[in-house]
Amino acid sequence: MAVAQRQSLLGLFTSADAAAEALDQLEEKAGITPDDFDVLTSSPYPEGAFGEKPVAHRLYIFPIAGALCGFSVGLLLTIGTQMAYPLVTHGKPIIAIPAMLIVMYEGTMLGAILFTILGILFESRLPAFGAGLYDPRISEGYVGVIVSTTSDRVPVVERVMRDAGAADVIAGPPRGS
Amino acid sequence: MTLLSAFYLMAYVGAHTVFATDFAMSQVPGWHSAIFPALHGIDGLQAGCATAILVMALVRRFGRLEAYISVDPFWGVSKLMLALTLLWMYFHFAEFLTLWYGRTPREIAVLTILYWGPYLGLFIVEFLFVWLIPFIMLLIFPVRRSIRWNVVVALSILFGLLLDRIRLYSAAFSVENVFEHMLETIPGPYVPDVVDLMILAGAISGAVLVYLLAVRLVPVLALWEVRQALIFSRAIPYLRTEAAVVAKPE
Amino acid sequence: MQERPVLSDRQINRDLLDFVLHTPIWFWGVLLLLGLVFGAGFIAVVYLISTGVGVWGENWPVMWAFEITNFVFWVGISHAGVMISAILRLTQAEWRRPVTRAAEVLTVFALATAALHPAVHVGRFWRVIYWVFPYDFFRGIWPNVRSPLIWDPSAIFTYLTGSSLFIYSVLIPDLAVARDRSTGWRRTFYGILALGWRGNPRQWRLQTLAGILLSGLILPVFVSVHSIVSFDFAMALVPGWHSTVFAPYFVIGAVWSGVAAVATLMAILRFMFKLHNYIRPDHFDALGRLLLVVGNAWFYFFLLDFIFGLYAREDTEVQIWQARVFEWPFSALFVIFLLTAYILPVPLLMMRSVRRSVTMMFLTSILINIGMWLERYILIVPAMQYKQTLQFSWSVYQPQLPEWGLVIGSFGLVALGVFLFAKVFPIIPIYEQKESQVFAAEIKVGKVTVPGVIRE
Repeated sequence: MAVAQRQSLLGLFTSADAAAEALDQLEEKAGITPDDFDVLTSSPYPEGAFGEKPVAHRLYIFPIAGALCGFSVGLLLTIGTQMAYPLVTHGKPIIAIPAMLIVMYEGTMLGAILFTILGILFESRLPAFGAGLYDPRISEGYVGVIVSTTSDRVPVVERVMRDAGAADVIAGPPRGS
Repeated sequence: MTLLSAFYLMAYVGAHTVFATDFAMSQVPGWHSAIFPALHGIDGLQAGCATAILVMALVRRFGRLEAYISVDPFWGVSKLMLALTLLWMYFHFAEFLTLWYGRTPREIAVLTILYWGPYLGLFIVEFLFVWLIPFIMLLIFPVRRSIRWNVVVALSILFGLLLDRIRLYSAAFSVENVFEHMLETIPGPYVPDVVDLMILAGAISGAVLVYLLAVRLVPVLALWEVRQALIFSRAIPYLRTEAAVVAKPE
Repeated sequence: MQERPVLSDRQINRDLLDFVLHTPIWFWGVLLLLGLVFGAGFIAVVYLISTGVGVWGENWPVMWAFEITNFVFWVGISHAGVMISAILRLTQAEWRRPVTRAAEVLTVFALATAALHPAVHVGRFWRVIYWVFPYDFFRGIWPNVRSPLIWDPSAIFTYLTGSSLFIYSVLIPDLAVARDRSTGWRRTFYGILALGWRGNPRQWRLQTLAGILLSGLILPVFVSVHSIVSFDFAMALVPGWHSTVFAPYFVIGAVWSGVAAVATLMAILRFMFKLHNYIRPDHFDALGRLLLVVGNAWFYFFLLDFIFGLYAREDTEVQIWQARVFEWPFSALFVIFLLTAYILPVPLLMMRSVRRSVTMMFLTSILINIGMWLERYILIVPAMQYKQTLQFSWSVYQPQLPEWGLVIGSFGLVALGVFLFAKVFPIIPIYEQKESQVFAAEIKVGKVTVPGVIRE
């Protein structure tokens, strides 16, 4: 059984309106669903502006996990070290919680921030060098529409894109490989 | 109106400062602290936000104003409340740590009476209600977006702040020998009697009564502002989605 | 009215990447000038290290003077960045867009410069490094975490790491633009840093969330940093320092000087890079209003510290305030401090014409920072000068030339850092400018059109 080869097409549009219009046309004439396309823009647009699927992510777990890790390190660094080298200063107890809270707090926040940055990179699927189609014109204001489809339907998709006013259509390997 | 709000805010800070200074200027242990007025300003704002949430929820429910008060103002105020909860901790910790680190007998005596002496139990309960419970709850996004949970947080904060006031004022005032150079003997806790509780209940109900009478006379929502919002913020279609536009006139 | 120039993406790219991709001839001139200023400080430090801390005017009991003042000053300046970018991001203030990155970059370089001061202050810093790194864990000796001197580095480290990563994570989309616009080794350089950014909805959504989430996380750190710097003083039983209000007083002072520094920086950027379309009078107006609020709040805390210091009428406290206000040379400094930190700038900022004039904002913000530098000096030095009982070794502090060199050099270092950053990376966020074009909307009411924004 011959498996249909999947292929990606990147259509460049001069405006967001044209891109959204083209996506409507693609859905109508080529049966492209939100699972099959991606939009590349040079700035954020309101969510769902192109009828794309809402972004599912678990970013909020990262700062919590990071805060827990950071807090543990802070705890170890304060209580652990003071118990390992007990030296009374200024009549304060060896395990002086109010004074140690500060280092624990900084540890917690550092952990939360580090994990958040990792989380952002992970959830944005970065780094992703050379993944998928791209064109430098996108950062000049063009809106790129990437459609992933089977190779037999590439001509249809390309025609619909050009009819909808694509300035250029680039073909390439399938998305994500 | 912007100008008036600026002065209003300054008047608010001024009022709280002068009021707190009444206490702080007297050399009573626990009151004589430079941070005291600022602490009061923060606590006042916190109580104000909590009361606003409570009143909004009640007016919305019993005034049948569901169409006019959406969840957005609750959301906005709860964000502010989260910030104020953090600030509450910050101001109290800054005061506590400075005294704790100084460790002169005078400072330790103040901490003993306020924190781990006769008022330890009250402090623990207060800390739970004014800080720990609201803080953890407000961190959770769905809580901030829900009217019911916001009301719970607001009640917790108000209760905690009331205890906080009781701890700060009655602790300092129960000092027995006012001629002592510093707090040498730690007095026991002040136990309220029936009259105290009646005064408390009366004061709270008095405030509620005056408020209720006031909303009989004046509309509880600013009518022209509601109308202005209808003009200045609307949902517009944006490509394939809808977006809320807020006008920003000068 | 708000001005709203309509700019195409192409023009935004060209304007904001111009200095990054092309090197004008004046770049070398400015570089030389800043290098000379920094060099002055560098020579002062080399002289200090080769000769010893005796070249400074410090002696018992004033063991902290210019260096710690300068340290507090720069940590203070570093508070602007995050204050501006985080608070304005969280409140979705539209005018933040051109301001954020410059403010964050100022944060990082000011903080790094501040962090150098303690190392320089110990004189023979290699000995400290030998104590601290590699730390002698194997003999079971650990630092005293109950000391503010350990809190300080932990806070500064967290803040520096956090804000550097913050800058980087919101820089990624702009790095992708630089990658697309450049050639040769620059393309490789920006390409690696941009991590293969393409700009699909997922990446943009995460980018927006990153701004909000990181702002929320870094705000509590920012408050803690200057509080901990204040604890360096407030934890000690030195009269005039041991005050419960010190932490918020320092934080608000830091914001006051920091936001002023951002206004100075924005004026310089506008002048230097001809960014008239991006940094507009209404941005200065908004900064001015913010400054007005912060300035009054700072003055409020200053009064709290002042009044409560005096009201208890403890001898030592009163004497210290007496020294601060009435004794030469502090009396003169106190007058200049009050004039420049509050009495002159606040009425000036109340005037709309001043807030909307770039030159006036530039001058006013410089005034504020002169005042705030003096504020730290007046807080610190007279309190140390106090003669304790049974103290027989006592001298008056006189700043010496190497200390002036250090102060001037630190300004050179921060300026050099920000300038070189602006050469390598776009200092005005490119994608934020494009976003503001996308999110601009209008509402028609009868015959007028009111400008509006789409809520994020």
